[in-house]
Amino acid sequence: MLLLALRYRRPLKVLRIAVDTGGTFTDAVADDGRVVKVPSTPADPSQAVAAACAQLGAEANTEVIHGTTVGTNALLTRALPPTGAICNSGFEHLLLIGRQSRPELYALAPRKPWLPLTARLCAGVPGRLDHMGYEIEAFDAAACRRAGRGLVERGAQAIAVVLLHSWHNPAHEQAALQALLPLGVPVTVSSALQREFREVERGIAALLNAALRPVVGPYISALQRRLPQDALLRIMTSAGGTIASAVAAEQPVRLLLSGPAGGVVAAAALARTHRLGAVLSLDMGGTSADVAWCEGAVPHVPELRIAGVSVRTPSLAIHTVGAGGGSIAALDAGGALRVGPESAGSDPGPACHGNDGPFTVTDAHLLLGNLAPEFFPAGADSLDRAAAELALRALAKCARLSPLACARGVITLANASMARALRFMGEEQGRDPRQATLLPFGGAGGLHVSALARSLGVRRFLLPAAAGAFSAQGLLLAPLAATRSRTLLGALVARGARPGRTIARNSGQRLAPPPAKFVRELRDEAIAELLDAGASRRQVQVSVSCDLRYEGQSFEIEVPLCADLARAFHKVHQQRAGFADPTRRVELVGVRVRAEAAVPTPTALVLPPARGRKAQAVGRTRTAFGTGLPVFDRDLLLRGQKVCGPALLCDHTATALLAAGDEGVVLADGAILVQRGGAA
Amino acid sequence: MKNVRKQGGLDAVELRLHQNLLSAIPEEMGLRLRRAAFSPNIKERLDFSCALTGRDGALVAQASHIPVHLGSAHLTAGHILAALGPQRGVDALAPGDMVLLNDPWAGGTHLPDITLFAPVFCARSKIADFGVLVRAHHADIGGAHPGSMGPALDLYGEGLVIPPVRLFRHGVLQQELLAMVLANTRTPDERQGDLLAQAAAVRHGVERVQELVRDQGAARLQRAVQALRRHAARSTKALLRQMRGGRHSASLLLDGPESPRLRVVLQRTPRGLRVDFTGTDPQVAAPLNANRAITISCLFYVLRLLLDRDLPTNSGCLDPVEVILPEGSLLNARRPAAVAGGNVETSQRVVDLLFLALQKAWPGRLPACSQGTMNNLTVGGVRADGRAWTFYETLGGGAGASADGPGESAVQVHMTNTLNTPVEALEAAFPVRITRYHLRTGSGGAGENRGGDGLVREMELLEPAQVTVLATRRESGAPGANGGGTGKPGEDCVIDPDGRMAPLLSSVAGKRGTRVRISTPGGGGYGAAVPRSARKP
Repeated sequence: MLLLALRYRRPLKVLRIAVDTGGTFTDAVADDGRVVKVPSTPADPSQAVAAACAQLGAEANTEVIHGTTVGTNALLTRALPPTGAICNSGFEHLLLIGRQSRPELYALAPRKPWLPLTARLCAGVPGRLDHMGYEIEAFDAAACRRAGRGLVERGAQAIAVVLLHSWHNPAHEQAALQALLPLGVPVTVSSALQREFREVERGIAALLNAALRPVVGPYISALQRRLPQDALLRIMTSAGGTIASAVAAEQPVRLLLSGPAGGVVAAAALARTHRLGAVLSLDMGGTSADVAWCEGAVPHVPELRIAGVSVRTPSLAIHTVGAGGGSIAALDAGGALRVGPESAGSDPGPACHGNDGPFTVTDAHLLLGNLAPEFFPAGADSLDRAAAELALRALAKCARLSPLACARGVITLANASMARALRFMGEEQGRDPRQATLLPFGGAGGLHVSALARSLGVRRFLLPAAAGAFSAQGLLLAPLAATRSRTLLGALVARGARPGRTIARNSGQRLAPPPAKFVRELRDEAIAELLDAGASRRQVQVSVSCDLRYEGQSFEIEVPLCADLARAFHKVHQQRAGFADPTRRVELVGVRVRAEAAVPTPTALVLPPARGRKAQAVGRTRTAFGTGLPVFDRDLLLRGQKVCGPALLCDHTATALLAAGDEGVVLADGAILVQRGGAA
Repeated sequence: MKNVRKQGGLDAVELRLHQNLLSAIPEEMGLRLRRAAFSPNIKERLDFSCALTGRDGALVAQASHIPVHLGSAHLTAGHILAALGPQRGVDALAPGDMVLLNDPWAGGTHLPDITLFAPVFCARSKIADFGVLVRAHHADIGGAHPGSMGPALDLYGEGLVIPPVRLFRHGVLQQELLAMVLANTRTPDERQGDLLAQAAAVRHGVERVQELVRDQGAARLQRAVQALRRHAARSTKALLRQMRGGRHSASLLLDGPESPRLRVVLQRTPRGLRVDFTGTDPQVAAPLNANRAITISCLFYVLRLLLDRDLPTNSGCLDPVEVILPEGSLLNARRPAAVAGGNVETSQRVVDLLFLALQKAWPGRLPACSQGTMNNLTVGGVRADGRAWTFYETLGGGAGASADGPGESAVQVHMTNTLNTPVEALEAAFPVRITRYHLRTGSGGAGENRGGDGLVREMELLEPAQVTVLATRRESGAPGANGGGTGKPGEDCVIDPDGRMAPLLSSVAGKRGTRVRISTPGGGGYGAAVPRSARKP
């Protein structure tokens, strides 16, 4: 016990609270298992976060872990402040040119993804490095300050700096930072976020980081003020680890997937607890669904895509599809039905919200008897069946379908787009999705999982307890984490390769520096960040991986550092790409270091055993077609009880649907493991 | 239900469901190819396409990869099935075979686009029920100029011509054929890597089709394919009915006054639309000829722009369209015309031509013309150790403005959408240095909505190298629409180490220190410009 207390610097019995901000509700979970849901406060989300913490009894030394969408929403709604970009002279518009591609191939008037940048806010400064990091032209700090002042005069509220080859040698960018700091606006230089090559992606990360700072920084300060004094605030990153709030305010670009990351971390943890092997997680909410593949750990990617923009920042491999409860059903010009990606949002919302909204996936569920509104926080009368039926009849008539076939069709098509995303996720990993267990969460994931399992050929799925607050549970489990990466661009010989020994490339012109030195540097930096955030040295675990490719390829694969990197690479390449060529030279492109400090395990809920008592339905749902489904209250279920489909499983956070033949058994922690019935 | 409409046994839900199932296959193949490919051309610039074809060679589904490959897949599959069909007896296409080709008159487009095709047989059928194909632009396939995109006079000067031949027989790689192909390219290592990646993607497609046939049943799947084709045809017809009646003609020069002229007449017919290219100038002794596949792709692309985003991309889109393409013309050249630039340059002009005609048929709907070129730049040389190097890139320019707003700047338009190569990657891999890369401010056409600006890219050679530019819109700019101004034409120049500047005409042997500057064209403006004095304060 004493040892434990020493390991964790803060007092042992500290209360830990996780808060996840959603579109409608803000969910909070305490590490003793209590869950609260309060209405979100979109104007200032920190109000709801603080209210939820207060309800759970947050006090002075409480640790609050937060998943926020403040920055993400500002980007998605184009509410970021105008931001300036400083590049090498001659490269002023580097970030506006981007990769020259248009996001939509068949658009009459193509538009590049929106950025908080215009041509007026682009500037160039003399100074140039070559690809080895050597100076060709000296950096002009005075010109840089003049350029920065000009940008601020033209309305820039933050400035990003990206200079060519700064990943190799950050000296010029550091000089720029020093020159610009006196201007008093947030400044982000690209090499401070990551030392990786590809100027546009690195530059976009710097640009968004600079633009997000005036948004996320004040939000975090406001939240800190609303929490009890001395409460320790940590923020979830896209990469599934938490960081100190001060770091988050400085590097908000790391938070772009802060919201969805929590759920994926929870899914990976639950998969380990129940020894499920490979898991496909499905987080379905009102407007979209997030899917991820995890097997032991969740795969990381060095780049994420949001609002059409590729941002170079470490992230969990999460794929988003435009299929949610609010997805709109409509007909195309040729008379085929389509569902999504447009969403009814919260205004007007689905037809059943009674605001003349369109027919959506949620309406279809309501009319098919797949919802039990008495479990909803807003109560049994919160949904307008008549309005939903009216919308369905109109749509069915145009589609020349019966209303029943039309409502079922809407669900089928929503499932089809999710099934496709789940398949892609497996395909990305070079794995067969049939080998995975599905793990649905979010308000609506459980409603679709049985049908998805059937169409993917998956044999079983796990319905977690309190699935509507699952993302918040993940926040409690996420380790304190810091990542560092660096491009090396050297070559390993295909056989007998060893880290630390690199081979000259291009007939001796170019010798990559030995990775050992870099690994040490990156490791020390990452560890220092964790220690600053309150971890102790002994808690910290470090993992190192390398980005490798065949010489001539332009895409890297991450392989954990090992004695024979090349061999490990051939193996992974075979799995992912379908072939390997051991005679080819393998190139070491970069190295990544991930330092993590585990957090105390939250108290797990243990259900009392059923002792022979059978699960009892508490009622039946209403439906527009025939008889409804038996409803089971998940809070009344006991360990070991069996629930067989067709059935609806409800608690106050989420609903799950079992089809005929599905057989579920309640586990000790309240999760239900379901074996799918019916033919493959 | 009496009023339930079934289309070949498929209702409104089943139609979309099968569209999803079928279009997922080429998309997954694309993911596979991208993950496995070697060259930046495929991996980063995404210059490839994947398609699924049916029993008659018709296009069943195509992923949105690169438009210039759109709609030529059915011609490819048709050629292969004709060349290697059951009439060949024991030598006919069999399971496990994979066909390689690039011959523009045997299913190909231009020579660098190498296609791999595999038939898929359901159960014991003798005829392939489906075909999957992957077409990818390879950075070099021989010929006189590195990158195989130089100023050749005929096809034979452009590189190795590959008729439909089997690279795999019964699943076994034909090493001798591969060796023969690799011996004819400047970058055999990369070619081998890309070809094997292409083969892996094709194999994945075959497996996925077989799975789908097992799940759905061959007969049901064929019915769905037919129903989806009718669905696309019906939607296209509905679109064409919105056009004004009468004849709408347009004509356009490929570039300056000396260059060939393209002509088209659009006319609504009871069946849908007639597109008549009669009057287009004959083919030329320069690499700017297009074959039938390319011209059809352009037409398909323009239709796709106007059609609902969610509609399936299959042969049905072309069913209501009748195309008249005079043989021996620039847009339907006879063997052995040089065609390298047909794909990348003439194709862009065909889109402009169709835009001009459609602006009359559909006032207000279409934007102004865009840069109308791909600004193909190929640089190559030989290293001190004897290793040849070559890289190829295309540059974005200004997009045409529309009624809704100004044109986008420095963007790839119409028939291509390839990514640029990062400066940091380029400088690390090749002996060149990029010295300028910025917007060409003011190059977009004037108008109520301005055309998008082109860009300027300047490169310094750090070792001697051959530099080849294949580009049009160097003499006349992109026309505006609805009274909008013309965009600035592009400019290419060579700057000697001592600072002397000269226009760059197609190909030049550059010295160490030579700089090459490409300024790409702006897009056309939309609507008459309001003079500054007349604007409300």
